[in-house]
Amino acid sequence: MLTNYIKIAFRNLFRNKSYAFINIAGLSLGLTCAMLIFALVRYHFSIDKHHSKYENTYRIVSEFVSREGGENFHSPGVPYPLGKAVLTDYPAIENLSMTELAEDYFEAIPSANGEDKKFKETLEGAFVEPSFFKIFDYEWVQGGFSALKNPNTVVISEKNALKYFGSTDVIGKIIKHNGRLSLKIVGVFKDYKDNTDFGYEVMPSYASLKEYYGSINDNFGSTNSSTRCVVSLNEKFTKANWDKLMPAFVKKYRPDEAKYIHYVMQPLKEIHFSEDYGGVNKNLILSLFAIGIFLIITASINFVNLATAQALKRSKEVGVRKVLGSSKAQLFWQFMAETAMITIASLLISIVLFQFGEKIAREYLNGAFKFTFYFDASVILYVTLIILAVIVLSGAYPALVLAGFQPVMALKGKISTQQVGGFSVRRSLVVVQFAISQMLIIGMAVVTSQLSYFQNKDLGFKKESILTISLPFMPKQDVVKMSTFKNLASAVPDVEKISFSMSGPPQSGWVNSTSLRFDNRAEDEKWSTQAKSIDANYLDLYGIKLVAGRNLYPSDSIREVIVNEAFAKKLNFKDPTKIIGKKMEARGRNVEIVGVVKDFHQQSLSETIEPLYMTTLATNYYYVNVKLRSANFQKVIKTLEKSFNKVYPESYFNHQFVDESIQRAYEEEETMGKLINFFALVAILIGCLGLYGLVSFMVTQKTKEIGVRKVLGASVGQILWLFGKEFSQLILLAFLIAAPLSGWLMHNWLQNFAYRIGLSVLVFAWALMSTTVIAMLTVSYQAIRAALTNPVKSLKTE
Amino acid sequence: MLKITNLEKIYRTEDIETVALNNLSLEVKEGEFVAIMGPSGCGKSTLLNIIGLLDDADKGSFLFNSEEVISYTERKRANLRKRNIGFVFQSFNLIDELTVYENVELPLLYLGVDAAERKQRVEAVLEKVQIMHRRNHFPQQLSGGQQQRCAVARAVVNNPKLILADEPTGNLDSTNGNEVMQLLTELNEAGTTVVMVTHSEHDARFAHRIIRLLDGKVVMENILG
Repeated sequence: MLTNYIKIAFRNLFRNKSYAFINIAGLSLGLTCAMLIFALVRYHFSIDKHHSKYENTYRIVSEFVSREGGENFHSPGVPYPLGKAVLTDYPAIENLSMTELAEDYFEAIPSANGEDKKFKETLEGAFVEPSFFKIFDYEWVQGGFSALKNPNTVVISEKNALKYFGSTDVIGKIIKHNGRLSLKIVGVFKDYKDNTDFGYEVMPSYASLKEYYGSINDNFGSTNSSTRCVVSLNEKFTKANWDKLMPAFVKKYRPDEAKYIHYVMQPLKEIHFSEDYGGVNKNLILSLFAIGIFLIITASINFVNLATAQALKRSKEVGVRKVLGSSKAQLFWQFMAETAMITIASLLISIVLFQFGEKIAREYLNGAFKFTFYFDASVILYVTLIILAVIVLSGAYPALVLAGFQPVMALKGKISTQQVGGFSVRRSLVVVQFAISQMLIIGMAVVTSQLSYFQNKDLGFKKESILTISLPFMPKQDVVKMSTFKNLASAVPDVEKISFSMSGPPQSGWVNSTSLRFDNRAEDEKWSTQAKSIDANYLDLYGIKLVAGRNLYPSDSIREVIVNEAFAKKLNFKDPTKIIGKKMEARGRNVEIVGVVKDFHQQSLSETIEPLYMTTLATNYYYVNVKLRSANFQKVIKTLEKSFNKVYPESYFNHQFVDESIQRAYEEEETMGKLINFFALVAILIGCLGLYGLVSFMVTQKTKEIGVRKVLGASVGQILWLFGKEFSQLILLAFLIAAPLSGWLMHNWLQNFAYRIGLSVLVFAWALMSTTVIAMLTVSYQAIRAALTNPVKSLKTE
Repeated sequence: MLKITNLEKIYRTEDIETVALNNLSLEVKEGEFVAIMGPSGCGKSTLLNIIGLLDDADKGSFLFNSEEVISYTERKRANLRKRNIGFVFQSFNLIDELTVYENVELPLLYLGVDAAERKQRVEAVLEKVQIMHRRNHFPQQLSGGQQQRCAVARAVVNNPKLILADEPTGNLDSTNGNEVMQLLTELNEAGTTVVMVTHSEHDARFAHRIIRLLDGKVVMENILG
């Protein structure tokens, strides 16, 4: 019997090729995208779960309570001495490891000819304590972690060992971290899975940190977001214990600020999605998940629509089978089996498409969203669930309709459109499809305009043709070397201006916040200010404007400061000139405010402009900013690299263009934009396929009506309007659902940004218009053909 | 074999009632060949559908092999139908996507007959109706006569006790029509009861008895020699 079903299903598909194509193409497309999305979602929800201590691992983070009752400030970092203090006071804690993140670094491998081979690393590294490996599961290829308690030791990944030495047999070999810190390799670990937030390629011992930094700020007063602390707990010391003891701990080490600082134990399972601490926006991932579901629904709707529309063609078969003794249940399962076949065929196609899609997505998404597909039992479960859902969603209704035909009616061909669910069921399904498409189009338009707003917004400084070069990381910069490099670089003809600064361009990811003592007041202000170290050429190079006072005088040490308008405003100076001449403390020195600059965006446009002061401090500069005359950039960069290597032979020439690095701050939004654009297009395409199929059936059904109308004198335009009217109503109805829903969603999304576009009517009009145009184009071919048919011919078919 | 008493069937739409069968009674004995005749709309087809358990009546009694089937559920009817009744239609009603062989095989599939026996029975019946050479063709590739022979083969493949034929020659020329009538007669002679609805006096003469209907009632019976 089953072979009979399969046979007839196959022959039906071959006979109705366009029907089969629309169904299978739409479904494969929907399934492919859904699987890609689910792979991505699954990646984000599988982070670190493979570690055996997943449930018992925590990160200690800092929460600074706002003194003004505003939003609290969160940092994933802790003070350097916290780890030791915690272990001393609470020895029952199972394992604790301090870690110090290393980003933007390179490793130098000494070679026989005396010249180092340098490898720039793009993935994070971290200085760790041996207990890090008791908390997280790493497998060892060579050596192990026990020797990591000593300074000047390191463990590296298998991949990096092969990269540096071409072998994993590297125990005892030396690498130089950032060309400066000599480290002996004591272990090589197996490459970790990338679904982790605690995977590092290179892990020097935490004990090496003192030598690396020269000196370490060994007090509780400063918190660096790169200095972190992870623990694993057991029943001897639990999170509940910590929550109880933490206030006393803070009081002991920071007696003055006990009220304002919490060291919170954050469970590992919450880390990935903790946005306050730099985690991934969970809503973003969930929105994508919703889009995936939408795509499957859209494809399933096609299925239902086409299958019920086609049901009329199958009515004779149903009648015959019933006459021959088939039961309703047998017929139901026959049609379900057909749906299952189409679905499984689509699945096979989409598995192939998925392979390509994954590759493209990986390149296209640029690592902004990691996207790794691990094949295991849960994948099979996912896919099975999706398939079952599709089969039930799209198969059950048409199968019920078909199996329910009265045999006598079915044989006589007297099954009417009403009996196959009427047009009303299909109408509502089409409305759902249109609504989904419109919502995605609105989302697409809003995200795109917000992004272009980011790109075009005046940030308050110039960013074109400016290059930043990182200076080697040293506890204190060598002022002589800096000026040597400056002289060499200035001699390059296409270099227009040069300036040194602590954090590169005016807008960088690096924010330094400090407390403020203003005008010799008795105590610090209740808010903190941001601080930057810049030289006297900085304002000119970046085109930052002064609104009062003057620029900083050239100096290598702290002599005076300039502040931004927000700073003056926060201190209630309505007229910025009035703050000139006031004194404030900067890095422990009481200096004069000599100028006020116009506000510029020192952070991404998600944030408001915070108070800021800037001062000269040459030993604290880590970047060279170079303004180029527009010319052959690559040639200039080559020349600069040569000069750089002459001055800093042990270092690595690391450069980027300011406009590009600023662009990178919006990577998440950009990726979101790309994804929405893409999936919206897919949803529209699937919808169009369905619409096209539906119209073909509508045309067949209306053949007689069209013939009669034409005989009675209807024009082609009037016939076309028969279809146009139908679909305009549906689109309008869909819009009434989609507009408020997506308006609300996008309004919420925009709240993430301090600087944002307003939701304009145009966005909605655009969604309505584009769906209308697309729908009309889809419908028109069939409709025009029907309208042009000679009425004699269309009436003859009756 | 069939005993119908006071059968009533009324089709209702919103404001029109059409009486299709009006207190109709008739009896068909096992082994009989009965032709039902009458003008269009007299209730012939309705009667045939009710006998074939494809439609239900509003009132009355219908004994099939002495069993009251008027209140049977859909499932029980399907079951009874597939074991006892074969249908032949005016428009053949072959499934276009199945070959001759597969069309004829279908009733056996619904009966759950195993593959080897199916093959043997299908081939035997195809030989009998002389379309064995067309077994792998699709219905559209056959002439009308061949299609109807295939339909007859399908109707008899499960050895039904009763064959219901609704204008079996209505779509055929006289040569092919005669062949089909010949087939039905042979089947009847082999013991199968045949009830046939027809407009054709010529065809009716193949039967033992002609029942004439008008306005849902039996108005005349002719017993043929």
